[in-house]
Amino acid sequence: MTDGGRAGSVSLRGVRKAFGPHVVLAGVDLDVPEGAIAAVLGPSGSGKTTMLRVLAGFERPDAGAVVIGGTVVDDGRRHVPVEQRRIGYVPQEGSLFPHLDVRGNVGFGLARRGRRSRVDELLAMVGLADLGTRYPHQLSGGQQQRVALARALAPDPRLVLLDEPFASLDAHLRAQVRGDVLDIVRRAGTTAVLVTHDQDEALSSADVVAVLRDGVVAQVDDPYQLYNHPVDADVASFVGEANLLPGAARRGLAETALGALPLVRPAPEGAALTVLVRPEQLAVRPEDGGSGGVPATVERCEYHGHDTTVRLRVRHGQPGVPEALVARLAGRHPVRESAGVRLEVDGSVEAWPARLAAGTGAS
Amino acid sequence: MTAVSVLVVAVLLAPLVFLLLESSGVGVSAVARLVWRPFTATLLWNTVRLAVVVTALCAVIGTLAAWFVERTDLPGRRLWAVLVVVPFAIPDFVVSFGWASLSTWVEGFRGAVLVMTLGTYPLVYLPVAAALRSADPAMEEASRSLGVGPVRTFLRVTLGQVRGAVLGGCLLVVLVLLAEYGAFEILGYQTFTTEIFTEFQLSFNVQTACALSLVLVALSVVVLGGDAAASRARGRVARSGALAQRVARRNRLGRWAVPVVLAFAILAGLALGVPVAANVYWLFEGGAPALSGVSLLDAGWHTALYGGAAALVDTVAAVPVALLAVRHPSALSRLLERSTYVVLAMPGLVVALALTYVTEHYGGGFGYQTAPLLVLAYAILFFPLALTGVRASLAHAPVRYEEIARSLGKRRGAVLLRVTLPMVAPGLAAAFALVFLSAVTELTATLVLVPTGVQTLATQFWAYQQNLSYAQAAPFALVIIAVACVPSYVIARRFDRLPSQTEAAP
Amino acid sequence: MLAAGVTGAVLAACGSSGPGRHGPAITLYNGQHEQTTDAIVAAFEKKTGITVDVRSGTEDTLANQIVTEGARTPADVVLTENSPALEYLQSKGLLAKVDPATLARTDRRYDSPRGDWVGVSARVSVLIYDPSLIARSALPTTVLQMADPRYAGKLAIAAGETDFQPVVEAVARADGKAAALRWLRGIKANAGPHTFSSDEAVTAEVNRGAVAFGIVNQYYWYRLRAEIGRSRMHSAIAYFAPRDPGYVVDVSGAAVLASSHHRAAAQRFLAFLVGKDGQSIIADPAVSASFEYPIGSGVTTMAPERPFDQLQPYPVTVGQLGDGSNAVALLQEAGLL
Repeated sequence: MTDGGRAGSVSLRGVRKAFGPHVVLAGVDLDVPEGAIAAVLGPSGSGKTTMLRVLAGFERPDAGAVVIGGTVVDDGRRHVPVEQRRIGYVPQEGSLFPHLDVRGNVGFGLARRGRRSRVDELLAMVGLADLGTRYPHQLSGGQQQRVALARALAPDPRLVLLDEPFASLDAHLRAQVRGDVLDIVRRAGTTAVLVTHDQDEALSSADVVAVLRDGVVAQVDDPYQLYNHPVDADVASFVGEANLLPGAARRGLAETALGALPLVRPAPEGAALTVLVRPEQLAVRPEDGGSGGVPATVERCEYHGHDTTVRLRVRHGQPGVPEALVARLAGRHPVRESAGVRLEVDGSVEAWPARLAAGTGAS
Repeated sequence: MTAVSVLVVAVLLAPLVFLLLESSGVGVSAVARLVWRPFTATLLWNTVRLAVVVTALCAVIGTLAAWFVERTDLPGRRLWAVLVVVPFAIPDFVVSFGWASLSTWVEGFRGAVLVMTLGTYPLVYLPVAAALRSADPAMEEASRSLGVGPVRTFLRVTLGQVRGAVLGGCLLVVLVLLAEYGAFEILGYQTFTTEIFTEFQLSFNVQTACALSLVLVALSVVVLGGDAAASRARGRVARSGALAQRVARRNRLGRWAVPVVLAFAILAGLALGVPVAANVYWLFEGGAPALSGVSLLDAGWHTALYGGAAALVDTVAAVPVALLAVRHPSALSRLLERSTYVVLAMPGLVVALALTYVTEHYGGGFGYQTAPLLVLAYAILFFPLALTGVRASLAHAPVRYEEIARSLGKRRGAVLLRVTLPMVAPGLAAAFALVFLSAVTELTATLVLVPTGVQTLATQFWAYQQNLSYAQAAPFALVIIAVACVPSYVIARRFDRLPSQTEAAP
Repeated sequence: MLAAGVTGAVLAACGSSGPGRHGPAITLYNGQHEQTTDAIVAAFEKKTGITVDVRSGTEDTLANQIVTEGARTPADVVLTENSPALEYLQSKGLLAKVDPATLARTDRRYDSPRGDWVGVSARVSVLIYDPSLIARSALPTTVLQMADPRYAGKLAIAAGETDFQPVVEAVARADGKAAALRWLRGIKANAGPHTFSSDEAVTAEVNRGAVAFGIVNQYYWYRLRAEIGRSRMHSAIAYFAPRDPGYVVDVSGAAVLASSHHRAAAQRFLAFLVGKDGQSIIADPAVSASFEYPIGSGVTTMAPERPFDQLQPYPVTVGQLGDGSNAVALLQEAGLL
């Protein structure tokens, strides 16, 4: 019953799960190689937490198979119970046992023999060596999450499951705790599946990102591929910001309101397209900076320090051009609101055949 | 777990089978004659108006007392936490006796309302206090932050959070009232139950009494059905997903401290002071010879032993039923759980006679009138009290702790022992205490099943009181009160000493 | 479950009175007042060396318990406050015949008509009243007057008390059932809220001035006086007119169970109860706390001040009282039960 996977690899095959009439997982397929950190990204209600609970063994799938480390742990006939799966589970709230102190929490899954030294080791790893006798309510949120991770890693699991573990942390803490935690996971060499609805988190921390949509995996790829080559317009808008323009294929180019753009992949001549222009692909020049490009007006600037998000409105409204476009300008780019600018597109663009419902007829 | 629960419920409902078997020997017309005579209307009216008034008073007193003890800086709240529970442990016949010797005003309806309210409000206090202890303070804080004052926050937010506990407590109060007998006998108040007892005593007819008890069971089923409908309308208990596990901030009473303390003093004075004072009075004023200390010690020891054993058995047995009801809700688990409440409405005498019948006719008399059978009788009679305590705590203990423990490689048994039970410890303590306190004061089943030659505090008090030997009865009443204080004190202290356990359920 | 098992073992070890006792033993189901029984049992054990395990309860519960236990009942002897419980057990065929020598020690009037139980002591129904609330002369002289509207709100009764049934039975015999029913309805109206379930309660209520007068058995008043002292007695007792149906003697009795395995010892206990020793204990309230009348072996008492042989009760026998079901039916019909 093995498929040749290694100790911590994970496979889901056609996993289905419904609660009453409500179908949550409609046939999920996913492979995570050993030692990788995989992020499962999806909007709320997409079924990502259910998927994680099926992986952990808290829920039994209605159909399909779950394979961990080459061993089938669930396939409708057999069901390996949670406690025999050798997984570590870090839930959203940390959920430290309130009646145990930090050492008691970390040592919970360990046998008596060698517990002491292993707890010391883990507390040192998560940087909380001197807080062993504190109780959960005496810890900050970040500390609680690190203890929760130490607890999950203590029995040396082959797989760690993290269910939006950083969602409830303050923004300024989140990035740092996330970095710390995933560093620790990486150093431990454990395969990890991280469930999140935060695309920044998924892209920045995972080796593999799976986008879950309506109970199925829409795309699995590394972060670069996912961002730059999403499989469809929906994934494109979900992963990062997207300007979606109607267009038509003409002589290997996509003709759009922003000009004729080179296509990443060739499209059949004359086909109606939906074209993806990422915000950072939009070059914004001052209006007096020469001719060329499409004239537009700056509606609003959101200054982030390291870059600026610019909301634009194309002037001389042409049919088929979205009213608003978004561009991201690096560093100290001087743009003022209400200023007139000209827009051009850098590089080649991803495009998909336009869906009928979305067809605005660019021809 | 389902199998264990089914077993527990089967044992509990065995007396009901006895009731049905015995009743089947009575003709329908004989029962109908008893049930439909004109007197029944009076009895029903008496029973219903008492149930409504007492339950309402208990809900108000129990909930307010719990809120003041748990959520305000009430001066001396540790002491009050003990004192407000103790009245439940004082037998109703002791309370009635105390009041009756104080004032002629206390009789009939108003006497019954007074005595029963003072004796049963802890049934609301205990679950509400437990719920408040584990309820999420974030909601109250949110309310206060929205500019809502403490009183309106209590009414609009806190009450909503503990509504389940209040209703659960009220259910117990109604069921206990339905089965109450001793207090009404002294106060001269007639209810359906006192009438069943009278019937039973005068006609020497177990079968008819059993048939009438079935009517009582039917009444309790109606109450349970109403409660089930109410609980379907209740929302689920939700907690905010905050990481930090915080202690509820106590509301400052400020200038209200004095009147509130005064109110607590009056409550304790009425519920505790009057019976204690009356018994102390008789202790020193009575003319009869003093009692040997040995029999008092002996009765005290046996009372504590039987009560403790029954409390232990019930607390252990309540865990699987509560787990099934809370963690695996289904039509079956709901039925199992709710059906156990029926036993509260069965008079202790009927349960005792059922056990007599079973052991003598099917068990070859094995174990009859031995301690284990008496403990079993207590365990059956008071199981719903244990279940209420455990269930309320479990409902507030999130299932994810158990999931995490299992993900860490622990089997179900280990998870139960190391995670679930420690987290519901306050509920277990409350369950133990409630059963213990009830068993200590039980009389009718005790008289039938206690080992021959052994006296409990209640049987001995009863024997002297029957003979108007108040001076000799008084020390037993006082020892009952003293014995009852121990678990009350232990619960209150336990809650204070384990902050992590009680304050940190997220 | 382990906890339950361990607890059970511990309880079994220390719960019952346990083995290791020498000599014969009998079990007594005691529905009489416990102090009285304890005094008699102590003397019996001392004299005979037979151990008596006493199990106390209300007589009706004990009777029902014996019926439920059936042939396996642990009881050898049953002692009750009133005769109806014994008549009930007799009707179930559960009683053995009492030794004729024992029966001979008491007046036949106070024994089971069929010789299944023996009378042990007697009591008489009286009025208890608070002289500050009602004058002696204003009290009813016959029980029938208790239904008179002029006593509305002044009367207390314990309709459920077994001691009241003989009075009802006597009234029904004297005046017929229809009259008895009217009489009971009048009593119900007069008593109103002062309807109690025991004579103890009626006695205590009248003595503390909660109600003017009531009907009880004489010994409750004497016991209360002994308990709280003469200075605290705010009540007095009054007898009905001679041979009034309210003036009824009823008896406490004892029987041996047919299923007893210790019949000889059990019969000895009955003989002791009605013998000089047992009767003398009943006659001496300082020992037994009892204020009932001894009725066997020629023993008399002055504890209730009016001697037993000077009582002039209504002539109804214990056999006519039966198990009390006639009286109960009337009480139910009148809405008092």
